[in-house]
Amino acid sequence: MFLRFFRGEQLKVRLHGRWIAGLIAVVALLVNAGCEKSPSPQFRFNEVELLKLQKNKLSAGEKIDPAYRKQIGDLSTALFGTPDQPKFPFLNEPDSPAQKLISLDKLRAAAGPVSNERDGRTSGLYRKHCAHCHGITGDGAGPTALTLNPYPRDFRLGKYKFKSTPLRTPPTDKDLTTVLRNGIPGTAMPSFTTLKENEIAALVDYVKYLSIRGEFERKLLDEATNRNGEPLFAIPAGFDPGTADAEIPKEFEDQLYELVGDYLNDEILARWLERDDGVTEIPDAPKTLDPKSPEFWNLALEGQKLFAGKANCVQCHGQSGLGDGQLANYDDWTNDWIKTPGVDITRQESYRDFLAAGALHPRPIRPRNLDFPIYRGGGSVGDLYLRIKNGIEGTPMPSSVSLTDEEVWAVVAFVKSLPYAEK
Amino acid sequence: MTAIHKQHEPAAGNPLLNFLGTYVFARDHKIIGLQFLFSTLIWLAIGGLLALAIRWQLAWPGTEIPILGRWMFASEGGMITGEYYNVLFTMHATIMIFFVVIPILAGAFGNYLIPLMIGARDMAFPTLNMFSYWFMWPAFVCMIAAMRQAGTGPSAGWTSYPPLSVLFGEAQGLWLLGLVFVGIASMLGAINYITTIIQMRAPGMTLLRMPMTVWGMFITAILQAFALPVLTAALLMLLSDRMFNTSFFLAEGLEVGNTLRLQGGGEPLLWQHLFWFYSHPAVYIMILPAMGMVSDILSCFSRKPLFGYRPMVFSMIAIAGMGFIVWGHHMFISGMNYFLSVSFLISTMLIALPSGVKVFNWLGTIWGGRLQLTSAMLCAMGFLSMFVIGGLSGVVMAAPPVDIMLHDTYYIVAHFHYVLFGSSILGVFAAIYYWFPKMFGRTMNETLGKFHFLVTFVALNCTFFPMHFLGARGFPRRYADPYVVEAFRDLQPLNEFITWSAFVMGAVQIVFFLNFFGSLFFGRKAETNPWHSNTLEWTVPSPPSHGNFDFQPVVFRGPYEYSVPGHSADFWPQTEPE
Amino acid sequence: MNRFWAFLFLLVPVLGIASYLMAAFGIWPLEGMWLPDNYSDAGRTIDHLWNVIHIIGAVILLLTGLALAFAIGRFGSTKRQSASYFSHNTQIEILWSIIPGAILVFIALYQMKSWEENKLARPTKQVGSKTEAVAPLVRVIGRRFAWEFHHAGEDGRLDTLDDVIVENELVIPAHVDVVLELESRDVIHSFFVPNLRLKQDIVPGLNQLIWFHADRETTTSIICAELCGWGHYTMQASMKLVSRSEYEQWLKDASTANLTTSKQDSQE
Repeated sequence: MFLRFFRGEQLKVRLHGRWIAGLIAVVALLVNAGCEKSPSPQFRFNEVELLKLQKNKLSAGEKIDPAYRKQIGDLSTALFGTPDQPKFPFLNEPDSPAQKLISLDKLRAAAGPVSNERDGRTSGLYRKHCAHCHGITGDGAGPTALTLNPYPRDFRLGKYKFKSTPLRTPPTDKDLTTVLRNGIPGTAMPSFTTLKENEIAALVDYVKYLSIRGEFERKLLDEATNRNGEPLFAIPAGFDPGTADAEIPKEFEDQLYELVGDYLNDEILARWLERDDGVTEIPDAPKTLDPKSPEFWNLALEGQKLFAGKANCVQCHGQSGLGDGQLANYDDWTNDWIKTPGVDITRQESYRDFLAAGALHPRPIRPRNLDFPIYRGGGSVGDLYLRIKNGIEGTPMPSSVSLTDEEVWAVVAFVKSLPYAEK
Repeated sequence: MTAIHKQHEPAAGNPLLNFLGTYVFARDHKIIGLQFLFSTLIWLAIGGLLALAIRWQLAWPGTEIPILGRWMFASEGGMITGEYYNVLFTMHATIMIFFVVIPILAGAFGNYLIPLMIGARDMAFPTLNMFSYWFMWPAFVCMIAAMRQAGTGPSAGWTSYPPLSVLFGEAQGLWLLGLVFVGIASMLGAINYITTIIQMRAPGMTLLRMPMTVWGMFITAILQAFALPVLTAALLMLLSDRMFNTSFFLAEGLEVGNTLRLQGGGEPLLWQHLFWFYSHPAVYIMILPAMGMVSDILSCFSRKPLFGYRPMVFSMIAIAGMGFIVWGHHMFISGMNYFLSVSFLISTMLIALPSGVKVFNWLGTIWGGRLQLTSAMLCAMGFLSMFVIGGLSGVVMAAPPVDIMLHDTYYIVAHFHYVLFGSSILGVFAAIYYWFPKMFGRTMNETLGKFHFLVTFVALNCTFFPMHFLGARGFPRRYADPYVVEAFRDLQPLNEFITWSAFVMGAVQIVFFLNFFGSLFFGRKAETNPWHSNTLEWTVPSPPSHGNFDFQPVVFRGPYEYSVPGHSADFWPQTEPE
Repeated sequence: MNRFWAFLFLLVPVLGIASYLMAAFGIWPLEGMWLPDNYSDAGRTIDHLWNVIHIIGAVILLLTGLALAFAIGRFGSTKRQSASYFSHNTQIEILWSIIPGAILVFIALYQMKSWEENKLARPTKQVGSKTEAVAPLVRVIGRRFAWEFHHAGEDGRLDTLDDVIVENELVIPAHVDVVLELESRDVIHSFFVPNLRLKQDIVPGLNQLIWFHADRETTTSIICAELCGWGHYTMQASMKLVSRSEYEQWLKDASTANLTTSKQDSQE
């Protein structure tokens, strides 16, 4: 029959029958293949940290008990949920300080699969705008990351470059918002100025969430190397954290918080909760900083002396500020693992296991070329003051404790004048 | 001719060598044509799937893409990233232009039809012909290898403008190399076609007795022979910019990858000039053979002589000639001298005239005929109908002031899909339905063919026509997530409609493929001349044997003597004596 | 069956032109699918040209489409016994070469003025008795994937210390001739403002000038129209058209804000 059909005999009879069945089967097969959902994405385990700790703390050949990996994974999931259903510890407790830090509604708007706006419900903001570079875990290793220079930020260290707070203090919400709004000039970080206010706020919360989750995971990993095979925590009886995708029963939740409370509160959350207290005040700029002022160039000359002398900027930025001084430094995110014994940055064989674990190929950090009037953390004199005064977290740029405010302003004046100086 | 021919008789004895000689490393133009046909059909499917992925992203950006998402970006939620979206449209265009439309027209039908239609036993250079197919394979390998580098695949668009294509994208070098191979393949084919058509016509087959198909192929071959060296040179220059740090196309002082590049002194616009000097003629390379084939099909199924044979030939020559001096209309706002734009504007307007004349001649051909609405005829008329729309939108964009608004928007996308899909691919479908009986000795199913045409025709208009409106709004091409821009958010529903239409269009090609491959085995056996056509290929058995003609055909008249008053049949083959 | 196919081919010009009319006159479901509002004087000529060419195109589409559909309906009938035999008609061939040719020449010449206004004739101003070309007001620098806008400070010159550099937001005066200078730092970008009918590729190494005269104070967006990498779609900036005095006030504020406090404070 099939044969005769193709010969075009008695078409009307045959167009129904096997032919249509065949076509439906083909279509059904395709539809079935297309509609079947792929498994929902999960946070990636911090393999690089594991490898690093193993090499740092244990003798050769020794391995961290794989049971820890499951424990850490289960516990992180129980406390922080999954990329589709984020959670945050202590949020349900009345007057918990965590509520000041993170709002669950915002997390939910940022997490999950990308929603269609016409559903009237926002979700998936992070996946839509951020994940392709920063990765679903916030590890700075999304699919596009490899092609970027500098690499996207890995949030899991809790370190941020452009902020109004001193070193080792997390950025304020305002700092993060500014970066999202303005982007980071000179990098691949675009400006998200067209996003709505609440969307930006949701992303800011989600970034904090990824940071805290990452820091917590690192802490647990570190702890695991000290335990010699003992379980990290006594999991409450009758509760399997591995299945904790949905809500945790109340009684377990309390026990769980009890277990990790010290860790989270003292070592991680406290840092984030107190960050607003540490914001650096920017003093009023001297009148001479106005380029129209006749004194400006004197100030800039003074700055030049400091640049080459006391502040020692030339060491990295070079005599002419072209960023051609010390070039062989790495940032903290890279130093974090390349300082591991056995890693020799000049030989790729020596760190191939790290690359396999997900580390990005190390690249030296470049001191800024000050010949362009474009500054990553913003170009106003206030921004420059903060960069010089506080340094830039995670980079070799130090905080200038030895400089007085006047001296900092002088350096600012010199830096501002560099793009326009006679060459 | 016989001497040439003896050399590639299949090796006697060893069956494996026999098979390889006959079907793989074949020097018979018909087998090479079929090799091109099957390869390009496979690429057509791949390129089409890429297009559907692009459409998915434009309708529902950031959501998980079916099938692809599971194995490409599963860990990030299965969505297409901005970088990968660029790879998708780059590869879609590259595949469709260089692996589908050009090789299926020139490679598959050119190879198969030229010797048969001019009464030759084979091409002038059969071994060269074999190489022209086998040089496609390194290109295939390069492209697949380039595409496999997910995230860093070739992502500079098919136009590959430097500095982007020089400074970014790790797989761009492979892509360039692939195109060099395609260029070599096309060049070998072009030399062969020109020589064959000039030297090997049967007695009586004067130039003005050649079917339009052969004219189309002839002029295409000339275009390729003269335009390709420019592209090849430009590709090698770009490759050397990438690999040997030369600066043909790089200005000084670019800030790249966090550092300032001090070497430079080249000119990015030079690439655009060289590229479009090839790629504008390439636009005609992609349509002239289809025009020729459609002319033959329209005349045959109208049972009526082609209207204005000489104007048709001369307008084709005019299009080809002027095709070399209009490349600047791709660059109206590129920063090229604006006075220069004016001269390109005038030459572009002039080139619209011969295209218009062709349309009127086709209408004149079917006017007063006795139309046989077969699948091939419907596709050919679809070609005509879509070519009018593509041509008219071309005139809109050819006006430089309007191009200020339309350049790099979806209006452009609408225009070239009307020409390349609406015209060229429908022309290819027409040609497949028409010559399938000759190629395989079986006939394709007409009902399925008409169903395929109907749905394709409706869906292609639903897909591409709304793009004109997107373009009018300024909706840019090559945006992975256009709705980031506030002004385009309300265009998402229209894009969803386009995507659904594209899915329908993609799905109905399954019918075509089933019909094609089913008919290969189960189709009705075809006689020698099923369509009662005049040209020489229909005087030999279907499929023709090695060597085509048992004895030297002699041509007595032009190819379009249908319904001649006083003649007994309504067709009058070219070889039939008075 | 020939009637069915004739109908199908008839739909092409009919639905094509109908949908264009729906878009042009804002009829559901294609309302708003037309050229966006035009804020620019020179842009008006572009819109006019768009309309003229489309009307001519619609006539040609209708004529050829109707001819094709009619031919299918009339000559596609299975009852038809024989085809007529003719292969040329000199008069009609001359006619259909000359008329389209004339139309094309008309279209070509008709747009020269608009092209001149948009890309060739840089605006001038009267200074005393001399006519001078208007100097660029802002330097626009395209960079993967952001726009920088360098405003000259009080001294009215670029590349001096009092330059005001703003990212991703262009404040610019309306009601006056404005000239922008375009530069690129890395790859080719294209400065595209749909509402102002403004588009210009920015080739690294070349300095381009574009100009416009906006007729209203409003906000619109600048987007990139030339593929510049993975983030091509994110490369956009907002454009605020304000009055001359507002612009000067803004410039003053921005330059003071630049000098005293950090950017985040000035946003509050």
